[in-house]
Amino acid sequence: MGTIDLSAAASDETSIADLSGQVHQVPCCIRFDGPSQVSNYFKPKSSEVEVDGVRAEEAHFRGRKLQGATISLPTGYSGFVLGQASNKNANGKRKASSDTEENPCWEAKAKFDKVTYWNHDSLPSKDDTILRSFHWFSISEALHKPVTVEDLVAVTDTPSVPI
Amino acid sequence: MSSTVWWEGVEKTRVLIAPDSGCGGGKPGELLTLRHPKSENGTCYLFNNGMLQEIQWFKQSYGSWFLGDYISQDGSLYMATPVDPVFILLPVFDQARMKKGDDPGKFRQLDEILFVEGYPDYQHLLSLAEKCMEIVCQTQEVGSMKFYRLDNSKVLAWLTCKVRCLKKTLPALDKNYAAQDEKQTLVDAVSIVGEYLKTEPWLKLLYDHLGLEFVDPVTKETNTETFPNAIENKMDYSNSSQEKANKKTGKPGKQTKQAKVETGSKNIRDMFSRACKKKC
Repeated sequence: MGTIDLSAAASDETSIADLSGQVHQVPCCIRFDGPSQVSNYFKPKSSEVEVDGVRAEEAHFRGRKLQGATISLPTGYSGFVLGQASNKNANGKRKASSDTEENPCWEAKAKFDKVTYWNHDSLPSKDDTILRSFHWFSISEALHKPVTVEDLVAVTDTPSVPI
Repeated sequence: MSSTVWWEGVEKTRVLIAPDSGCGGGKPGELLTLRHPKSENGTCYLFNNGMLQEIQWFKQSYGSWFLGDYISQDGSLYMATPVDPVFILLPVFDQARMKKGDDPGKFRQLDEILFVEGYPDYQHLLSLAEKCMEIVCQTQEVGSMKFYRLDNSKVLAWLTCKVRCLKKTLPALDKNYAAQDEKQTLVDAVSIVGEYLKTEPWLKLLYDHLGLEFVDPVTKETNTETFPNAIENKMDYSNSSQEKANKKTGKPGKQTKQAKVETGSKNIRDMFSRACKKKC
């Protein structure tokens, strides 16, 4: 069985890195995983433009202008960067891969409380898919909040009340 | 840069948004393999600090993450949100009562009910089931033993609560939903709940109970295709707004709407992939 361990991010723990404000989703695939001097080169600025109450930000990546917006995570939620330890042993050889593949162990390595996403061609707006995907938090709250006995009685007693 | 970096010893990274409460509990959350209540396929759920959560996967066609001074090629976003265990346990309890026709079936003990062949992880849900399943079951106590039997009328009332609650929430999401008429909002709410229900018996019973006409997605597709070309442009327009409505849920390709989405803007649909719970 795999695990996801978020305990390093508990509020009384201070050891974990806080990346709030430095989590960017860029609109291109970068074929690289690993450390890089992002903050030296990628310098977002806020702009005056506001669409639909979404404040646009501006940055450049490889000579292209990007326009983005920052989304705060919903109350009660946090962002986590999960890391999976390297499955190489001390000699640099891969361990039997089946174990980590079947039982992946992920651990919170950093946390954040907002995400900035970047569009290439268009100003950020409420129609952007990632913003809409955040609707899921409200929907799932309504859908999965436990039903109480009182709720149930209310529905059973007033069947004629329109839904 | 500080002397120790967070990525030390890390080979792969993923970005997850999850409830804060998952940090407590003092032990790692477990990834359980349970059967999806609609598709019955083995699906990965996160059981963390006593809370059962489902994992949604959001990925655009192209994207990567900057995470501080680190680049993560995989630009997808995982979202873990609490799931009402009743949805997950409903098919298990349904099967366990061995209902035949008008016979309401058998009362059984929880550990028996949660024995699902090929899926030992249901055993982890014993205390959760004890807490949450009474709302849709009849129970009998004999000495210190408790027996459960799923009750259809309670399930329907429970589902009605879910639909009511969703229907209240949808118009608050954005102006497109707010502009929608009440009947359409109800249909949307039912189809979202339907993502967690097998068509037989629950979804059909629910449609019936709410006085809605059950629309089989397959039939609907055929109908759409017989529309003459002359109004195709108009259709396309409505498709894309339909598409938006779909997206708003963060769960694209809802069954009841699939037919329309097929004829509409396909490229947008590809940007979303359905909750791929196996990935974690």
